[in-house]
Amino acid sequence: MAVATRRPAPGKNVLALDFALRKERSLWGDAWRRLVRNKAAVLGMVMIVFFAALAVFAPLIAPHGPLEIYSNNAFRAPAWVHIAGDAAHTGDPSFLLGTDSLGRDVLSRLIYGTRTSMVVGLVPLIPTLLIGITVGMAAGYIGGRVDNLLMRFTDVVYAFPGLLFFVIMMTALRDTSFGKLLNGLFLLFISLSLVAWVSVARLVRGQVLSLKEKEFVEAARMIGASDWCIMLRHLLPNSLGPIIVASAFMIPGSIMTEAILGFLGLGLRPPTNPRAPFPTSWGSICLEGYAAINAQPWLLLAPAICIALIMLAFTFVGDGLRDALDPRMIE
Amino acid sequence: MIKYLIRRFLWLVPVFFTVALVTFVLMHAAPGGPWDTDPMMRKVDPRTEAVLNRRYGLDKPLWQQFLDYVWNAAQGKLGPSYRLRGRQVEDVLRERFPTTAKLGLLALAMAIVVGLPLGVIAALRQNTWVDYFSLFFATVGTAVPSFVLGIFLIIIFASWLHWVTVLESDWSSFKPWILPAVVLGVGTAAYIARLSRSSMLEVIRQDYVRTARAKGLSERAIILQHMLQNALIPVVTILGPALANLITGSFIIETLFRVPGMGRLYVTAINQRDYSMIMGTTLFYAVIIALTNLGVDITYGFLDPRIKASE
Amino acid sequence: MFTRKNWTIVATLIMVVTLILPACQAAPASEPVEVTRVVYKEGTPEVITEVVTATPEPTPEPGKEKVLRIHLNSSPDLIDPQQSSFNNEIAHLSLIYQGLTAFDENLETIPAAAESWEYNEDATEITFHLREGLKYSDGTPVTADRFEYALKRAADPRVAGEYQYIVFDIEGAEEFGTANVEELSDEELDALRDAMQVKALDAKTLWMKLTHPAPYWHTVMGLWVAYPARKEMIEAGGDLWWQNPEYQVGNGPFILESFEEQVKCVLRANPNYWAGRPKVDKIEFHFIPDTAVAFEAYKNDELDIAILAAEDLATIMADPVLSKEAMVEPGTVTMAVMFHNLRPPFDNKLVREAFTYAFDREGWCNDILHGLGTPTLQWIPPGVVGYDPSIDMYDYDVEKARAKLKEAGYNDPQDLGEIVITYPSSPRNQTRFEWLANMWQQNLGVTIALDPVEPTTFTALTKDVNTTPLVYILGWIQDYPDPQNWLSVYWTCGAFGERIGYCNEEFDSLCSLADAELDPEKRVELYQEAQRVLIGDCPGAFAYNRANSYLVKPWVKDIGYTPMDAAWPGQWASQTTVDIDLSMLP
Repeated sequence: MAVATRRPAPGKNVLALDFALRKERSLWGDAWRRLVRNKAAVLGMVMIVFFAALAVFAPLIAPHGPLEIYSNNAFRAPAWVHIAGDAAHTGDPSFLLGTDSLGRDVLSRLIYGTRTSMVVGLVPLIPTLLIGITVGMAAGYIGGRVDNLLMRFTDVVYAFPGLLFFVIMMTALRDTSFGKLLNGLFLLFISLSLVAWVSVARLVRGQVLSLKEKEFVEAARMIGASDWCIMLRHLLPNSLGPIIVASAFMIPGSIMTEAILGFLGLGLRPPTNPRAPFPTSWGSICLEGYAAINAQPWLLLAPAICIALIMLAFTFVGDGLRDALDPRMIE
Repeated sequence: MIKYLIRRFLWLVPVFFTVALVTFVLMHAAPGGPWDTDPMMRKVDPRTEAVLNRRYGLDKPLWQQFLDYVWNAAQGKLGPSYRLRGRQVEDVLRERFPTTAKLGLLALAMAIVVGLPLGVIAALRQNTWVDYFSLFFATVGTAVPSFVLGIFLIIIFASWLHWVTVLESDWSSFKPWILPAVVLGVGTAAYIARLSRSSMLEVIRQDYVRTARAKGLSERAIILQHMLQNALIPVVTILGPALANLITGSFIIETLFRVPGMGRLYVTAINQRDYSMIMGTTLFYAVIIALTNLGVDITYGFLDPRIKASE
Repeated sequence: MFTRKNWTIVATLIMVVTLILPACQAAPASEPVEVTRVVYKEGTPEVITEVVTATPEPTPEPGKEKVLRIHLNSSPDLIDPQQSSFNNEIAHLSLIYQGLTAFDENLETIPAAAESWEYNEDATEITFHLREGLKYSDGTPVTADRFEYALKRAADPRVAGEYQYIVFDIEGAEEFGTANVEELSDEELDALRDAMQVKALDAKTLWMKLTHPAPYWHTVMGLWVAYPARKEMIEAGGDLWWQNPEYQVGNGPFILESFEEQVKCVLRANPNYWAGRPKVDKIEFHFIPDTAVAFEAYKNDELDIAILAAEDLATIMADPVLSKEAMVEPGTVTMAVMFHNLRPPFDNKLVREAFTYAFDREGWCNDILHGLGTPTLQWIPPGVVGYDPSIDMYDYDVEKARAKLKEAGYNDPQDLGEIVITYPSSPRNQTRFEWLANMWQQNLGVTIALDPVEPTTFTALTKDVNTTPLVYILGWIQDYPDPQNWLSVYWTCGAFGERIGYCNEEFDSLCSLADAELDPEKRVELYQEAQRVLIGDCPGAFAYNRANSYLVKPWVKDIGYTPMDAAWPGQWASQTTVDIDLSMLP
């Protein structure tokens, strides 16, 4: 929405001057302002930035290496717990959250685990959105038999019980060479995308269906705009709102899936190289903690709290985005 | 309407076929067979392995195994289980499914009983502490992993408070079902709370509510007669898929609480390459999901004539 | 009122209710059953049909009943003497049935259903003499033809029991067992079955002929595969006969009372057991896969015996009460680090020796197993005949390790390339193998890569010499307590040792001599000599004996532990003697 560039004569009309000098206001700006006003969403964004920082700067923040084994240090309690007479298990400030069964620092492993969770949340979005938007656009815009075919295809994917599909995929393909890339993360990304694109496609299709008949599309067609032009410059930007919101909710879903798969023993593979970028994940730590719950309950509690926090963060932001991008909400 | 139903049912056939094909291919892509589990507990001599493979038809070419399976499955015969020797998969499923279904239903009931009032009241008292509490509960309920919640509840209620025993085994009574249903249903309860809250909020702003108030109806009458019915529609439409979700996603809870259901069967079957059990359970789950999706679409069809017209 | 919305709600409710209904149906009441029994009257078999009713037994007063509640870590899929091969299944079988022979606390073979036996001159034939007056728990006499049926059923390809190979030493068994069921008719298969050389000469005498001299055969006949299953019960009971107390009727010290899949199994004492009624009134097996949950139940006094997990060992040992209830004893399992003898660099014996010298068994058992394993330098475990305490070959010595590596021509250990260790992935294993990699990297300066695979994949890989991993840890749980099972069955050419490419003629000839040797002392000497040859070849690093670890409540008395007790302590030697002191119950 552009502002008129003609300036009135100076000194004549204060209101006109004010109008001319006002900054451009777009719908996106409005949305951002609404988002920032939502306290929970801001809190969520702060938490996400915090976790992202942990993930990126892990080597600088973590007190120990994630794979560093300290002998005779297994199942040490967190620093604030004092067990009288048991020097090997009493809290030690250098191991803030205690140690695991090999004597590795839980806090450091948690910090490095943040990387896996952030990556698992964000990376699968790319193929998901690419495939989902393409299919949804095609189905909604072209319609007819193409639409029918694509929708039946999504039916097949929908019919697959979600978590169970992941379990089968991971079990079946983990030991192939392709399943070993990036310690098994690559396979996880593919599996997550294969299932998630369906909801994006349906969403986009719905949007396109309702937008297709609107006047501005008809107008664009009359001018002679090509189909591609219509799809990319008109339909896509107007569908972005729901897509963004859906993405924001997909991220915690992926993180939880990784945690559950890790808990079932089907997640990340442990590397031996101490400089490997993804040494561990919260799901794997949960699994270790689960078996050791009587020896060191914080081994399970700590990653569980982290998972909960990051899911809360993304959910708050998602809620905020939905409220912010919903044109029907009266301010 | 009938034509629509028939068409949807017919489409289910290729859907199930594809599900079966994908499962079959993935299962056989994994190295190792049903006789390869845990060398420390069971050793199968290679001669015996040949006998076993012959007996179960595992020595036939893969495409033939698949076609045989599909042919039998269409008649409801899902094959013999390789681990539960001597039992047919369909018998095992028939035995175990009611337990899982019961768990799912209890979880759903709990989710409705807790989530619905919470969401409605939160909407009515928007931005008060009730609202914030229900939002908090809703988000936490979906954020904590179920296995974590489960083990901590066991420790609290069994070991510390002794309200239940750790080894509940009398599944015909009521007590053993409480904890697993709660843990399973928490996520759904949170989801229902949010959904009913947002739908109630929308209804509150509608014009007809203002009209009713202008007419002078009591607040109570307004809520009960007008708002609730409309607010509940979105919730009712998700009940089917929610139930399907609970039933197909219960295996962690079942393992933790030793519920004798079919979810647990599934994960064990995958680890042990019990091919027929994997195929049978996947198809069964796919049927449940497909039927509930169909139910939802039909419900939408009833409620929204525009969708019917566009089909 | 009848708006569309209400119909939807009603429809949903109807859908929902129809799903509940099956679950709410009451279980059908059990009815009396007609069973056909074969009864011997003066030596002639007579078939009678009668209605089976439960023998009324005096019910002990509530609160005064001795119930032993035992934790098993998985629910048995099938309790059938000729088809079972898992520990938890065997735990049930050894209570419900009794075999020809049994084992005492020292793992010596003692008479059980058979009161005596003798071999012919070259130990290719054996004759068992059954005790007088043996009965199943329903009163039917136990006769020799029952055991004949059991052994033939074990080999029957139509039954396809996974453990059938154990009876292949009986002449005719292998031909029968591996016969192609698709191609042969029932009559032809029956003919093969009858050609199997095991016969009941009369009601109390059982004779069998073996394919080679086997003076240890009486030990093998103590295994569950030879338990006298009831033909008429199995045929009448359908697919689930083994869960049903009407049909799973044995001759052992306990009677199957009830079986709830995935939950528990209850067995009550057999008052008519020939060796005397067991001291406890009931044994309950609780199936709990999660050790954390089982531990909670044990602490809550809901279990009397629980499996002790490695993760909880530290907590338990730190607790003054629990530490006294922990029972950690060596088991009949030996684990070794296997090297692929045919693939470089491990085709070079010096390299194998280097890695073996560099293996810190003590550290492994203390830091990794937390005491749930004992280091060993040989294959046969302590407690089994043939174990040689004097062996000290290849004990931990880092200097020697490095020297051997140089001797092999690797002045720079990095020249070995990346050594890949493969293992079944599980959280426990992950940490263990990281430690192992670390140890070798530090001691030898080599580079180790870890390759965790799915457990089922791992088993598949280790079965064929072409797919066997370069380095992995595997072990052997014995079938029966005899050095023949440890040495000849495993390491002779073409047997399990072939999977890593091990084959030594000298070892084979020593084993065949020992297998046929009738004099028990000479036998042991020959086996020990063979074992020394085996260790000297250094096919792998013999590492540790896995321990059986349990938590046992103080009121459980008179457990006679044997190293074979993999399911619960006392399972093989104390079924009738284990007792509960009711005065000590909380």
